[in-house]
Amino acid sequence: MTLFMWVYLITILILICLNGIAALGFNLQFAEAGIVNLAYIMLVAVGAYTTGIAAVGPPPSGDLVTHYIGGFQWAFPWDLLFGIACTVAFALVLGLVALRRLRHDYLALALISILQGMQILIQTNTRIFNGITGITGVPAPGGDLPLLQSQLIFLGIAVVALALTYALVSRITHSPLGRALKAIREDEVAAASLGKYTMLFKLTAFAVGGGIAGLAGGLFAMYAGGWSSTAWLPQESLALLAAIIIGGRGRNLGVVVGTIVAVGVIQQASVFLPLPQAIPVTVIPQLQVMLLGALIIAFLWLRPEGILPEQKEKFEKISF
Amino acid sequence: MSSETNQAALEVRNLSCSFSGLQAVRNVSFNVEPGTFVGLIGPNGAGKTTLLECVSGHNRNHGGRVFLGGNETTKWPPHKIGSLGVIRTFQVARPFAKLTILSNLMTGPRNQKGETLLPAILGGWRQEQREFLQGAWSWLRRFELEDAANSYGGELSGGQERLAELSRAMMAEPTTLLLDEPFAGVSPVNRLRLAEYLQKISHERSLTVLMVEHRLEFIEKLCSRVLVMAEGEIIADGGMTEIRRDKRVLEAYLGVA
Repeated sequence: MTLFMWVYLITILILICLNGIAALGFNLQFAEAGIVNLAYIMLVAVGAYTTGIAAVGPPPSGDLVTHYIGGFQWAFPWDLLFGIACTVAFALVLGLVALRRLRHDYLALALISILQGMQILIQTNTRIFNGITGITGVPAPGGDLPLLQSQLIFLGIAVVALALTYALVSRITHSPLGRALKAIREDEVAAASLGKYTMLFKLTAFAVGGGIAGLAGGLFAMYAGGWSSTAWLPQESLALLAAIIIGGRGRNLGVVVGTIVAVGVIQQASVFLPLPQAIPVTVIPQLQVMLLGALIIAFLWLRPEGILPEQKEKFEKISF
Repeated sequence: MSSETNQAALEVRNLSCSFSGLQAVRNVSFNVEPGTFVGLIGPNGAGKTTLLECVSGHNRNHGGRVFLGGNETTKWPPHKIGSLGVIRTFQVARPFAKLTILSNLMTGPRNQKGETLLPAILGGWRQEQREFLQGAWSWLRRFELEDAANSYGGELSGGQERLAELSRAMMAEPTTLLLDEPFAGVSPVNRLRLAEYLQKISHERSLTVLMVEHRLEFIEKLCSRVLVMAEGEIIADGGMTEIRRDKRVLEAYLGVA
């Protein structure tokens, strides 16, 4: 294996880890709590931007074009923690507004609208996050080392972050909190009649899912060296949606499996597809989206529970 | 215990409620003493379920006042009323379809330690859950639902759903139960079982029960007091024997002058 192939393999693994983190957070909101947040990518973006502005220095003084807030030049992990904290705060505010009265379809529509609105805001008001160009030059830990070493270090960080995220969502899923969230997902009225303060439960899932999105976003920003408005178009949510539908909604291990399928196989394998001469290579990203879409539809049709379905809660039997 | 205070378990004052342009409840007032089993009967469309929903907080579009155990709950949302221990069941049973029966029951208890974020992550809730689990298994045993423990809520028969929903409500350790036609859709065998259990548990725990029902044989068996509603008003209030002879009641049900 050449150096190139090693780096390529590590790249795929890193993308699986980062998408896996985002998918786990998305799963917590969507599958566990029943919050149809198709605008999850917006929370990832908040994490990416805020981590970015914490990591880079202030805009160069002679530069009349580049504007953004922040520029604290904090080292890892403080920039990342800042990004996560900002995303949690954003998710709390967003949740308080959106989750109070909206459900299902209306909630999904409202969140998507907010996503579009935020996109336009960031792109046109260039003072916030430098408009369409976005934040560039975001450093990664170990970034100044030779390519293979820096990639390996980042892979290590990504794996640890994935493991921590997995542990976190696992604990929540298998706790009475997870059970209450599922109950609220199934029937909010019945859950409320038992005395469950459903708004608080949903807000908790939304905020934790948001924090996880912030973690993924911050790591993405470091990995890519920056974040711009094209990185969070609504269709970027598609890979996450594919991950949980293919892998298994409501099953954390399933979500990881789904991420491996969605990211590893589809996004990367299609790069190697032999195309007839007539079709230009620029079509490949569209083909990837089509392939993901087709897989989502196929699974919803044939196996809606996904590869690894949501499990029944196991209890010991107590006889008297 | 409820006998300590002279407070009514439920007090309704001048309750009026309309929806879709129809006055479903008209200026209704009554008290329910703690530990009593009160029936609420009346012809279809009398406003019984609407009244129940105004008490349980599911309908807050009403005039008048509601008090539960001395607390004014007039504009309270359902979860706040539920947290007081006033638990309602529904006309069509609502178990959580994609949770197992046992999981359903385990959602019942209020203020579980593991339901808040930090304890859920850090742990320390297992002991309490074990205690709840014992309670859950005993309810399953009582209602002969043990074999269905790991079936999904959506897989049960109508009668089983009803019993499961009631067990789930009991897991919340209610002080007051608001039951909406608990015998509807239940097989004759399960009905007898249900009636037996309602009688038993209401005595054992000094539960206050307000039960909307059409099946008068169960009202007679279980209720010491019956409220009769027709066209949004309470037209009679007393024991079953008096009610049977009440002219207004007969008129409302049978249209007899």
